[in-house]
Amino acid sequence: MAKFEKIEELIGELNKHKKLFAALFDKRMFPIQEEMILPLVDHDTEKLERLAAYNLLVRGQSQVGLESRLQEFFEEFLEVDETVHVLYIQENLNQIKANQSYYLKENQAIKREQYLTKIKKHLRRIDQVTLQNVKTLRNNTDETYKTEINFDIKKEKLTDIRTQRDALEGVIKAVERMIQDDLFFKTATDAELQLIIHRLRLTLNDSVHNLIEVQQQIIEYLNHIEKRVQIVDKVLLLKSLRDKHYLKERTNFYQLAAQNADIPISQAESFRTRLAIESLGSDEERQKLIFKVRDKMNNRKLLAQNKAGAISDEAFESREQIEESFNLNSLKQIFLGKSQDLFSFTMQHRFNNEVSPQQRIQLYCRLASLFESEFTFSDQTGTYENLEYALIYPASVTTAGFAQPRRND
Amino acid sequence: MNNRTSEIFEILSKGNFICSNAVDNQQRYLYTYLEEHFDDLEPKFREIGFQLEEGNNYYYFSRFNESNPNVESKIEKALRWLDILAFFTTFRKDLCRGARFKPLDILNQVEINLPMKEQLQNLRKKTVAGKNYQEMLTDLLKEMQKEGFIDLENELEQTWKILDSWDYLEKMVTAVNIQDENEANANPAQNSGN
Repeated sequence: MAKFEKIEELIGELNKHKKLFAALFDKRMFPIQEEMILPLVDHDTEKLERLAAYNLLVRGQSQVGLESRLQEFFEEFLEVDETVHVLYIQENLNQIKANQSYYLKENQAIKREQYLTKIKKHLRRIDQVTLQNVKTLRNNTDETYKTEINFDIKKEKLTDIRTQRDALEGVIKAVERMIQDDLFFKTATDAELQLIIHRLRLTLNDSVHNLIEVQQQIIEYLNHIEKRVQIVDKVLLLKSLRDKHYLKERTNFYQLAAQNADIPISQAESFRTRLAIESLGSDEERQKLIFKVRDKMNNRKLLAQNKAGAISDEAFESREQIEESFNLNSLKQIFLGKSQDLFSFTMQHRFNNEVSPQQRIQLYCRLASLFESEFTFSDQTGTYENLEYALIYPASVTTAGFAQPRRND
Repeated sequence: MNNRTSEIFEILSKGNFICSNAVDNQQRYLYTYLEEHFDDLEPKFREIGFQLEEGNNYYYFSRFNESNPNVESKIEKALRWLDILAFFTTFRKDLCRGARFKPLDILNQVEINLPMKEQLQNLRKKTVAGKNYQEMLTDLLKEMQKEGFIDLENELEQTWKILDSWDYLEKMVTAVNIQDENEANANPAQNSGN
């Protein structure tokens, strides 16, 4: 197995294939087919072989993946770690205790300094890891509850998270106790160590608060699941009782259903309302509806009874009657333009149709009475057959100039 | 304000629910409206013989003095609801209000799960019988939709959503008392053992 001699070489190698590693990291959740990433190494399988030889990636049966140490390294630095590392904190804690012991027993100043540096390093690690772990735990809780579809797995996962949480809390408490009670940390004179302890204390405090919240969340979720389990069990139990015809005997299901006066379980109420008569006639929309309903009516029999008979041919014959009438007004106008007396005018005027003397005499009377104001009635009279009539002239014409009326016939 | 009253009455008097997580905007609005005006509306409906009932994020009507309760049809309905609930529970145990599901997933389960297949067949209404499992399921979903327990959230993806009124069904089940529960529990086990 090849090994890097210098850090520069390792970093150089990573840098050279950064696109490949980024791609592998993005797809770390799934198996990756080798052909998918070949373009990233210029289709050079030898490069893959080389990387595998240096333990930067693992190859197997046309699948590739990031080497697990590298993956963890990336995850931790990018803070996307999805696992909670309780033991990791514990390990650091153990290291601190061991180094502390060496430190106290060591007499050489240089070596003591080295132990102290190690202690500081482990304290920093705890600081970094703890908060990250709490965050991860929190995310995992929510994510599990919301996205896990399989009911049983969900419950199990949440229970596991609860165990992890308890363990994490235990470790954090242990670290807290150590920096709280241990004389070594209490009496630390090193300024840097004091600063680290101070920061760590804040972090731990923060973490514990967060953990309490997570605990409440988990309890709530688990309670909810517990409730669901109860309902699910009850439903299935009742169903099995029903299928075996025990439901009526062994439960009060029937009584409850019978007593239930909720509308959803009862047959839906239907309200029959009638249309207001007034709106039927006045509302145009309604009238359209009435026609529509009528069109749709299937009861042809009723409609047939309602139908009127055929219209008789007689109805189509027109019986026009023309009643002739005189246009009195235009007759008067014509008369006004003449210098005749009215009686002679009516007797002599040529009408379109035949007009009898009797009608002409009537016309004379009507004109005389209708347009009295426009005519001048003279004192003289004329006679026609055995009738005597007044001589009437248009008002504008004086009677003086007129001679005796001519006798007709 | 009064125009909403008639709208609400229209829905509730038909035996439907008004849910806070309804798919329809208008219904969601009616829910908040009901929430705000509960004290005004409750006496109004009571006056005309309907009790406005407040469930867990949903409203419905009940009658306090039924003139002629049809006991038989109520029991039938309750039994049908139990069957339906059992069917969905067999499909997915965590199916509760707010959950979403796709008919396709149910059908896939029906394929491989014999009890579910039988249950779906038994749920088929005799009058309007769907011919295949998919049609049977569609009928069932439509029935549940009409009764206001589920609604189609995304037609394109065929995602259905379980409404808050689902809680009503579960409450109905949890309210049931089982006499000598231990015995009843033991019996099915015995029977299946035989």
